[in-house]
Amino acid sequence: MPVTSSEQRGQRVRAAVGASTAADSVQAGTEAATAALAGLGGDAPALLIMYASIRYDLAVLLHTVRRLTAPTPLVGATSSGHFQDGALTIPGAGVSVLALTSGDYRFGTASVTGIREHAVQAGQQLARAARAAAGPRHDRDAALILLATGLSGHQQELLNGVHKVVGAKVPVVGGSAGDDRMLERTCVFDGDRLLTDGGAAAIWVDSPWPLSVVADHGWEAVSLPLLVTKTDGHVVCEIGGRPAAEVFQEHFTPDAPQRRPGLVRPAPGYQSAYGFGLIEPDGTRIIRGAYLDSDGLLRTFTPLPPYAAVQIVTCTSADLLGVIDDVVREAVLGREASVLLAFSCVARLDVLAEQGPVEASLIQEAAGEMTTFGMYTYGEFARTTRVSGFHNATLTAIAL
Amino acid sequence: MADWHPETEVEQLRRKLGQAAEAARDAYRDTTRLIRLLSVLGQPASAEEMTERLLTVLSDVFFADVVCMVRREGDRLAVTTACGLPEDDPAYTTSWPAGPAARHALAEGRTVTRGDGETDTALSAADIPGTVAPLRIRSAAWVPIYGYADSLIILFRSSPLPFATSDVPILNSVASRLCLTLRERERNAVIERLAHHGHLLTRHLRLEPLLDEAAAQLLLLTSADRTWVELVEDGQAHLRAHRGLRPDEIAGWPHPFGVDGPPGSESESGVLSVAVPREEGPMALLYAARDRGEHFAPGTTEIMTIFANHLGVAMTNADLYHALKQRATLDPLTNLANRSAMVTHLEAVLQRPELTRVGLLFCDLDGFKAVNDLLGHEAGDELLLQVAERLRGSIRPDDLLARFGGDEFVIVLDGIRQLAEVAEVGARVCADLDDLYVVAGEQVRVSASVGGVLGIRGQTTPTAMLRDADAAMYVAKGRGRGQVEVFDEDASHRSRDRLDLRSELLHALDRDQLHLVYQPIFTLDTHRIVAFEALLRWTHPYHGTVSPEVFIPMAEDSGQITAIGEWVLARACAQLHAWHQLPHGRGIGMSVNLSPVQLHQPQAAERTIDIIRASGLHPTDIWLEITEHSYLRHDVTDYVTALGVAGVHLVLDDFGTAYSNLAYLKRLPIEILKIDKSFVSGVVGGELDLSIVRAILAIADSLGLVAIAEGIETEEQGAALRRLGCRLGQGYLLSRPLPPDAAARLLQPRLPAPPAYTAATPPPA
Repeated sequence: MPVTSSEQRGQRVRAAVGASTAADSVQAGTEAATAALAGLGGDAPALLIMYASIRYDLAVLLHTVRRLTAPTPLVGATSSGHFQDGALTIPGAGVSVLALTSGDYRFGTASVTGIREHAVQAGQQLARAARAAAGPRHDRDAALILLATGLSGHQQELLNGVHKVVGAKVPVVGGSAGDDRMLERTCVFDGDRLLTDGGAAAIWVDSPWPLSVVADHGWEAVSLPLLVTKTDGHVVCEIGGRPAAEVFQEHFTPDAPQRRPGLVRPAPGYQSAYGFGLIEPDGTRIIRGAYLDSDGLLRTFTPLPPYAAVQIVTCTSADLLGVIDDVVREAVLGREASVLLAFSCVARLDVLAEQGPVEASLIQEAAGEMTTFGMYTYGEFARTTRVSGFHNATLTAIAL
Repeated sequence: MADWHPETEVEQLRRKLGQAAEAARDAYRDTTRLIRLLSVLGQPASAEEMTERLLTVLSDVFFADVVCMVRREGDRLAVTTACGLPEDDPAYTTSWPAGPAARHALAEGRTVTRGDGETDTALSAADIPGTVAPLRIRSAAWVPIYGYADSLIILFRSSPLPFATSDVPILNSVASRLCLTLRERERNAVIERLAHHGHLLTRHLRLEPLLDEAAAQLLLLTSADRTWVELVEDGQAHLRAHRGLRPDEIAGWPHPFGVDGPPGSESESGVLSVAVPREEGPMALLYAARDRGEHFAPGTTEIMTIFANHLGVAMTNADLYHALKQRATLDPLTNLANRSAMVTHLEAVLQRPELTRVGLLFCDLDGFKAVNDLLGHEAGDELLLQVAERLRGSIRPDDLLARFGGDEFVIVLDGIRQLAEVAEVGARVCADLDDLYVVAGEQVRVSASVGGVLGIRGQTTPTAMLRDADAAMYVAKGRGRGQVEVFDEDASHRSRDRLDLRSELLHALDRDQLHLVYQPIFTLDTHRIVAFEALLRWTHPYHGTVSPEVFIPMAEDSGQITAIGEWVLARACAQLHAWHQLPHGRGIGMSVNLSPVQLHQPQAAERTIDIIRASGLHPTDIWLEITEHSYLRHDVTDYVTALGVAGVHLVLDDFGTAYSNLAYLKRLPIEILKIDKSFVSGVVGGELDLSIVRAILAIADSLGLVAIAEGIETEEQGAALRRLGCRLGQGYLLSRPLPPDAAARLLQPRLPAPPAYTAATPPPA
């Protein structure tokens, strides 16, 4: 149950983390929340973020934590593992709570349901509510931290809704909740509310300075550019007019199937080290995880746009770990931050395998004295310039 | 040069592979962009939704922080749609100044890009609107939407990536297709609007709101700045509705805009006009105009033409409605207001908050029925037309004259102060109408009975006024021809009592308030009872004994007479059957009166015979009295004949009082004639009546009929009738109508003779 705190300088945020891997929901919640609050050294928390394994009785867990922390706003999500201050809580193992003072920021939290039915409207409603909860508006900068349930789908539409309300000036960061790769039920938290798939929660961060949202992945192309010529929802049918699964497999290196299993149970036929890179206007790629299902169909976790220009991408642990320094540095660039909030993909944890804990420690290493707090997700949000901002297999971050 | 190493073959291959990959990546990226953008344009959505989605994809595929669609408004740009601006951005309400790049793009009609000043022309601060500036924009593109109302798509990027030369054709292609798609969607939307709303014009049944809505809809359908509708009347067009015209323009009518083209064309001044067609020429003209001489979108004329057809249908509909309404409110014969229009008018004047009162005259022609019967309905109509014309001359211009129905006319007198004024007008009407009229070549004398009342505004209802005036008219008629009666409050109250009685009659039978009395019919020479006449009586708990002359017509009006008549027959039969059981009751008959209304009931003969037989009597025991009357029509012949065949004795009542049409006697199986009391009373001292009675008796004798004298009240009358050979009679002299028990006592052999009769002569043996 490591507890750390960042030093509060002037109006800087003071942050502290509490974590527990106790099996009992009440005990785990009590330990994590107590430690997080204690870490603030008596300062009043302005915001709490909680990540928890789906294995807990979440209602009991949330009730326990709220008994100790209410009325301070709290948002959170179930994860597929999470990390705090350099330590990894492996999937299915525990709960972590981050407590923050407000510093120069003002926070507003909100939640919404109905993503599956009306994702854009839900996004609009969520953004307006979170912004309103942060209090009267001034001509300040802002960012939005978005936690969506992970099996709802429509994450980009949710983001579009947020974008319609807040515009390009407000970056969005966050992730989709996990469930230790059970792929059964994910949840987000908002105060006393526990929302299952179809729900989302958000934190509006009203800031005196512009906030940077950063995303990077480390994946490399192993194919020439290809055109996806036929898709059917999550199934990629044809690439360049040929059967997609065949094209995909052609790019596997012989040793890939022998990769050692990682920390989480992979999907059947899941080749965690291969995916698609959507070719972006600037030549970069947005990663879309892909796998061959038991019927031999090539599936993606997020549907590919029609006639997507893609490259098949792969990576090594070193590739993935190699982006951490840049992500942390750019998130903090030009400011003295107290806490780094990171969102990494469970697919990265797959690839990292036994090196899973290294990512958490490297993030902490790059962040120095900052408190680091992150979760492994079913998809990451990082909307920075254009409207798009939903990623797979990527590390995204913001520093406060 | 010494350090230079030639590229190895592998390195060359790698380099070429890299170049090929880069080329393929660019090509596929552009393909993806175009496909994604064009697929948005192909999706079913409204113009607004489609534009919004397109801007979102543009932001995505061109890495643009903000993409917006703007429309030039003078030297400013109004944002119509955007992706990347917050929803409360002032740009949506306050337009941006058009920067040099935007002006350039609009002026040249081609895409303009700006960037870092190295690969592209440098972006100037003036090109970045205030609300976008905080995004640290580094490159931008202004893409004209060709032919779409001075609009641009603008893409602002914060990334250092400049817009590539290859981006421009894609943007141009998208803008051009967007223009076509928007036009098509808008046209579709207009057609949809036409389909949904065009026909709704017909809901307006009055012309003014119809034309007003037409002007409003036209504005939306054509995206015009001003629309107006001119109505063509007698070859002249008159402005009747508009949207967007200024008062000074209306004041300067006609031709404020120099409409110089024929309908269906767009004039040089940018005014579009179409005609609303009708067979004999346009019924209206529709106009749409745009400010600053902007041209209308292609197809607008067609839209207006379709709309004009809708309007034409709606106007025709409104005309028809007007005609129907007129027909519904006018009496078709006289063109006077009809009953419904009169009631509506009366309601309206009664609601006016004025101090004066409202008078009402109810006029019923005297003798009209005779004219109708003698000269036919056409002559009756001719007479009504002449009467209507006379009445028109009798009233004031503000009074309303209506034909209430048949030969009844109603005059509504507004602004009356006292009842005397109503009486005065009533008298004038009577005097004006009382005259000889020539109809169908015959001279007829017609007068009117007039009833009048005064109504208090805000209190009296049309129903009450009509009811009381009608009652007053009946009172007037009761006094003779050409009389006026005005009812004050008390008189009205009494008339209402009469109406109350009418409703009470509905329950009289159920409440056991009806009963029969029996007046014996004697042989005048032997004073033997040959039959009784059953007479109906109504004893009301509050009104007391109600005269049959009052309630029988009520029962006939309401149709109750059928049920009452059957009850009377059944009761009389039952009584006779009882008397037949008495030692001296055998062989006597029972005379029962039939109302003409009963004669016209379906299966009347069967029902009558059934009732007689059900009582245990034979039809020959019963005498049924029918009144000689003008409405004893041919269609009762079957009924009467059927009864005659069954054995019922038929009596023609009140013979001599009406037309005394001998054809009845020939056509119907009449066996008995009743000589009316009015003649009987004159047989002593009245030569004329004596002659009539003698004639009736002669007729009866010659036809083998039996005559019964009614209403014998004096000994002299009885003696005179005997001398004339009349064998049967009834009247107070012989016996009043009696209750059953008293009547039964008359059948006793010990019965003493009636006093009056005893005093004169000994009873017949």
